[in-house]
Amino acid sequence: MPEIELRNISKRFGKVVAADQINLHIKEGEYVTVLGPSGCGKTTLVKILSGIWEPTKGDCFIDGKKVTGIPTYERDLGYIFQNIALFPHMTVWQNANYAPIVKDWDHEKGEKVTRESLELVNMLRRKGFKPFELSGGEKQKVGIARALCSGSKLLILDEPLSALDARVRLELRYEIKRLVKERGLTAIHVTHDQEEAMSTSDRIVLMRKGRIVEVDTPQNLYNKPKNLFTANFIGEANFIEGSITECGTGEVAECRTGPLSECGADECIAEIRHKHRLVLKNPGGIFKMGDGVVIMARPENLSISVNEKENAIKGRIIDKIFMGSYMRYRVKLATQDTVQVEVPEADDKIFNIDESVNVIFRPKKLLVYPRPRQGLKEVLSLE
Amino acid sequence: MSLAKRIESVLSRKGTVKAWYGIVILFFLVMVIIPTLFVLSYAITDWNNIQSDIFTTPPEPTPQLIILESGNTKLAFHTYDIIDITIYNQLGVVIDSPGTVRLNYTVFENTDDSVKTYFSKGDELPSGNYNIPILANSTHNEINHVGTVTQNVTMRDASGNYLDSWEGPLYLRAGSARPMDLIWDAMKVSFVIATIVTIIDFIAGLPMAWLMVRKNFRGKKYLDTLIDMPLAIPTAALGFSTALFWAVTPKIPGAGLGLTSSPFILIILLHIVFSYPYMVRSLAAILHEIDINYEVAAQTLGAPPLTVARTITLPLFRAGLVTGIILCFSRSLSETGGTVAALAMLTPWLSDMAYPMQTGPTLIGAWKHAGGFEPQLAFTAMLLVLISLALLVVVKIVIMKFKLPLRKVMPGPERLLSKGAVPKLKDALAMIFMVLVLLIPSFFIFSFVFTGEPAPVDWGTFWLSMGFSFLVAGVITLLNILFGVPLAILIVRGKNKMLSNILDVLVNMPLIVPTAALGVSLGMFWNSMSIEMALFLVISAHLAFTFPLVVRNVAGALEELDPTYEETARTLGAKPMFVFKKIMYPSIKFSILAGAIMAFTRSLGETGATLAVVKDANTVPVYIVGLVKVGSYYPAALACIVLIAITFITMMVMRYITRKAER
Amino acid sequence: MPEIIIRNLKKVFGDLVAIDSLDLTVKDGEYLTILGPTGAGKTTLLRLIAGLEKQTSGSIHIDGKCVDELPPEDRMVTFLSQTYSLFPHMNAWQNTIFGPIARGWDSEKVDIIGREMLEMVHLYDRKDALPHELSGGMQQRNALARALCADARILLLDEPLRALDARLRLDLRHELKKLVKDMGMTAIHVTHDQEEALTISDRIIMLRDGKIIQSGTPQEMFNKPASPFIHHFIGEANFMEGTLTGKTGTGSRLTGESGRTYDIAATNLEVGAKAVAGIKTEFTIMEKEAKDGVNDFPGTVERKLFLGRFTDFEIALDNGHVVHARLPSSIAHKFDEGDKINVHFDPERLLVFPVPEKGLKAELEMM
Repeated sequence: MPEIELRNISKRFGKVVAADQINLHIKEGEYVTVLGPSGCGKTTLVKILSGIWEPTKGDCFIDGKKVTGIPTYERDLGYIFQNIALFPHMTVWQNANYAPIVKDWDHEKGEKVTRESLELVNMLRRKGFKPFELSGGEKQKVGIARALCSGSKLLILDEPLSALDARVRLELRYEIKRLVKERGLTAIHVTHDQEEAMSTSDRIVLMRKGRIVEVDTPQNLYNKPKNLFTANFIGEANFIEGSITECGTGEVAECRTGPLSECGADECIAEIRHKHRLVLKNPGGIFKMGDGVVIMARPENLSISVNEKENAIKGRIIDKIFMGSYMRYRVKLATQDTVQVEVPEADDKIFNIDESVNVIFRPKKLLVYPRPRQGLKEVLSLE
Repeated sequence: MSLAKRIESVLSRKGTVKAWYGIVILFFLVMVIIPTLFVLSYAITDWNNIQSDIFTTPPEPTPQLIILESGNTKLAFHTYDIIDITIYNQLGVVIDSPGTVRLNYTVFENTDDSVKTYFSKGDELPSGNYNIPILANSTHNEINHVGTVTQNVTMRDASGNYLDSWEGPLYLRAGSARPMDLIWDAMKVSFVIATIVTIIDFIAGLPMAWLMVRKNFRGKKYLDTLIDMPLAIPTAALGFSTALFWAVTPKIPGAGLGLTSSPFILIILLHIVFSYPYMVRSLAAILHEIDINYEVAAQTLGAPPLTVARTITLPLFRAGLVTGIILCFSRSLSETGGTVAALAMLTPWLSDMAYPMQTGPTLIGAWKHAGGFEPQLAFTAMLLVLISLALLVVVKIVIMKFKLPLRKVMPGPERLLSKGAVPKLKDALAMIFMVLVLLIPSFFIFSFVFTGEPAPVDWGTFWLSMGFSFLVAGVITLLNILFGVPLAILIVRGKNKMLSNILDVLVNMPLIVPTAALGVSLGMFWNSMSIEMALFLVISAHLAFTFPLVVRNVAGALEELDPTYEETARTLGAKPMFVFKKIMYPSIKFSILAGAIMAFTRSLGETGATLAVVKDANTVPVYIVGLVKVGSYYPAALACIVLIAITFITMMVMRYITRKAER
Repeated sequence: MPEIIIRNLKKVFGDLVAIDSLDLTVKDGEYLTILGPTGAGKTTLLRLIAGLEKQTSGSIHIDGKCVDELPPEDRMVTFLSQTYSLFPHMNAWQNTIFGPIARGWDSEKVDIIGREMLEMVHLYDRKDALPHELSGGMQQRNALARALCADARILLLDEPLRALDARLRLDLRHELKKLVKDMGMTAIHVTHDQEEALTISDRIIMLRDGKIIQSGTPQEMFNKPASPFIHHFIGEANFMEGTLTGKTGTGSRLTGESGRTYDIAATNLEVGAKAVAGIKTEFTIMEKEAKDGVNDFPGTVERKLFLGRFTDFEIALDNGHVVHARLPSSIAHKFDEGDKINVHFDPERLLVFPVPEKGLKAELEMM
């Protein structure tokens, strides 16, 4: 049963460091997604794990066995490719049947496994087709069946949906998750699409510039990111810079990492641009008076009102965007910050562009981070 | 509006562009395609000549008494079939005829204590062409017409010195073979050699291409350059150099390894040298295009590298294989200069009509040189053109239909062979092959300058021919750029897909047709228009076979260039001419340069077409081959080295410029 | 004023009809999105407008002038591909002033306008950078500055965000629209991404098999889709098939094969007609407590998928039907896999369509 461990993996290409001392442990039966912007080293990681590339330093362990130096074809894994890479000269059936043949399985067993795998992705009806006769989504389904036929319990998905249309992508990602769970596979999925990552995985490994930024469940990364980059990359967010001007009297919490809202202390007040003030609930004790902070709020956690409300900042609506079941407003605050606010359409009050409104910051929904030394923009940058 | 803009706008007009394309197509048809295929018309207009001169068996000749006397250099021989008997510098007796002479006579050697029989008296000689040089290393050579008088001819003493005189008359009854048999034999030799060469190229080239594309190692850059080296050397020089390295060369014994005196083996070795780079390049190009993910995918499914190569890569390989095979095959089929040089090295006492083995192009060269064999020339050229075009189709069909067995898998052995020493051994063998078969023979000529006996060089003639060669190469390069670039644009970007496809097929034709045949055809075409000026004929011949080079290079680059750049430029307000200048040209200029240099060097090194189009053209390779034929090796070697140096410098300059631009 | 009027446009490639008798008017300053699955003819339409393909029949007028015979350079329309086709061998400055140079304007004017445009997109300090040295966002801005500099008032964008990372796409689509609007240009944007179309456009055109099957504002497309396909393509929907069996106070009643009935929105279809009713997953309501009212169905949560802002549910109704629901994550924590719940469909949101010609399944085929 596959259990994966990457120990201190580094990979350099000339001067470029694609992976920098990566440590990662993946449990058996877990669905882990490696997420990050282009060039963050996520593909490097799975290529090293599958033996396509050798690490410059460090070792991979599959089931506690060191696999460094073992060629790909002896590592026993299923690999699904971004560009699908179905063998163009073979039919759907021959593609799926490839692993049983090269592994020299008993003919009947091979046929049975192939049939089952193709049935599982509902592609048995296309078994005589050549890849060029299939649509993108169908091709990738065959790609999945082919990987399943290898009989391996470890599945590597290298941006499996990136080449497909948006809609097809949605349908296939459910399909993939279902297959992995039904078959009890361990899966490592690489993607740059945060929504895809959240919807498929048990755990997300967020990478940036060859390093792991944060590893956690999708819910935790979305609701309680420990890092500003995470907050921005996994779902959209508003960020407002300020500094602490009043501290509550509560106990100083021993919380040195992560957002202050996790610390069970009292509230404090931050001053943001143009002397506006925001009340923050549960700021931890690591902030002292005058400390620079970044306040983060997701668009759905802000709300708008025409009336004056507590902990609200005045602003003017500069844009409104229809999002289907809800509306998104872009509001220019009196502090000159622009924030995005999402309002369920069910709130029948529809606001108009140029209307003056109050944006309400609910203290409990705000996350607070120390202001980064290299500047907020640099920390949030997606490229 | 400035003047430049105004010119641009005029040039960009639909009418102007169309007219220009019209001229280009016309030029292409009149200067390249029609002359290349003109020879085919000979079958219709002069069928009678072919009938009477080629298919008819000549009458039995009557025995003739030939009296050879010391000091005679040439004796006329008045039968219908035998042209002359030449004595070169008292080296031996040579029987020249249209090709070789088919003789029924006996040859034995009578030394003091034994009789060594080469062909027994009264034996029927096996069918084939026998040139009977007077054999070396004997005091008495006797040539016996079956059942007739024997006469002693003393040729060379035991230590190999040539004797000045011999006694008495020599009786011969000689009848020439049917020209058709000669042509047929030459064709067979040509195709067998080309096939063997192509197969060896493929077997040795595949691991090398693999190495170049799929592996990363230090020094790969240099290996890349080394593979192309033989292309920089004119084939005449290669022929000289290769023969020097491998063959038993009677005039300068011990210069090289002296391993073979078989013309067949030597010519194969020679043809490998200049065709191998084409095979490696074509295979590498297609390997480069095959998405490596197919191979990786197969590996993740548990297939060891050897299985992957057999079941995934090779089947996807076919298109590249076709290109490689056709390039190698047609290069081998086409080569003249090097082959003549090598044959001359093996049997220096024979004239070019009398080589024990002839290929199609050498036969054409010899006949053209002798003069007056128009039906024979036309027929040989016709056959070469038709067979090579047919070949193109056949190779494509056969390779595309050929199926590799997938279901048969030998996981055990293949797994074993994929690991450990075997792949390393394969790489090592590929390297050894390249060094031993390609590089050393190519450059062996340089050793000759130090070991050979210096002889005076006629530099005047040399520089004159050099000037002629450069003039030709320069002119054709210019014409190639002027007409080749627009034609490439038309092929890749043309709106009329039909026209583009037809042009695309036509443009490859001169690449496949052996250059000697092309020369014959061109000569006939222009002669039929009463144009016989040597310079013009040579230029038009060289233009025809180099034209595909520029077009192919530029078309390749254009296919790589995303058309959205040009389209975007158009929508931003740029006229077609401006788009060409600012968007297209910067992206293809290095391909134009590469194509131009290829055309230039190919023209510099070409022998076959030159010899076939005009009887006595004076280009450097022809000059070199001439020197080798008469045994002036030292001047030939010097001329080769100067030519190699110049070609090399040109190529290096190109590489430097392209590399710099890539950065 | 740049207004595009397309009349009866048709484009045929061999046997394939890529654009079929298409009529379209694009207003000045409009941001129009052409949405549709792969192979719908979206890109062909753009290329026809740009003059990069010649139509088989029909006409295109830009600014009241027929452009059918005009080459691309005289149409005052800029075509931008997925990667924006910034010329790779030219730096930001050279790219920006390409249009004016191509048109042969005098150099002083070119300098002034080039600088103005680059400053407008905040790229003047990077004017010496080659395209590959610019980030995705900068490339987008450079391309827009170049288009504006060339005096183009109409932008044709062919899947401009496709090559970008998913997260970056969200940021850049806002920026793209803002710049286009600030510059006062008219834009036609091709995409296969329904969310992108919803959020960026003034108006959406839904293309399928070379025909416009619906055109309207994002709200109209989302709330009043013209066919089950659009209903399912723009947002996801659950469908019920059946026969119209009667009218309710404000709507109609649909009876499925197994006899279950649904109250649905009003329709012009006759009672007795076969019909399809569909509701967006966003409007499919999940409730903890069992109910037995109109459009209430008991079921079990089969799967729960966290998407961040939203959570998707797959629910197996006790009647065998499988439906999907999308809830804001803030309330999704109330439901877990295996929970017995009640699913409710708001009759107003349950839109009715006649049964599609090729059947519902073929109609919804996306691949």
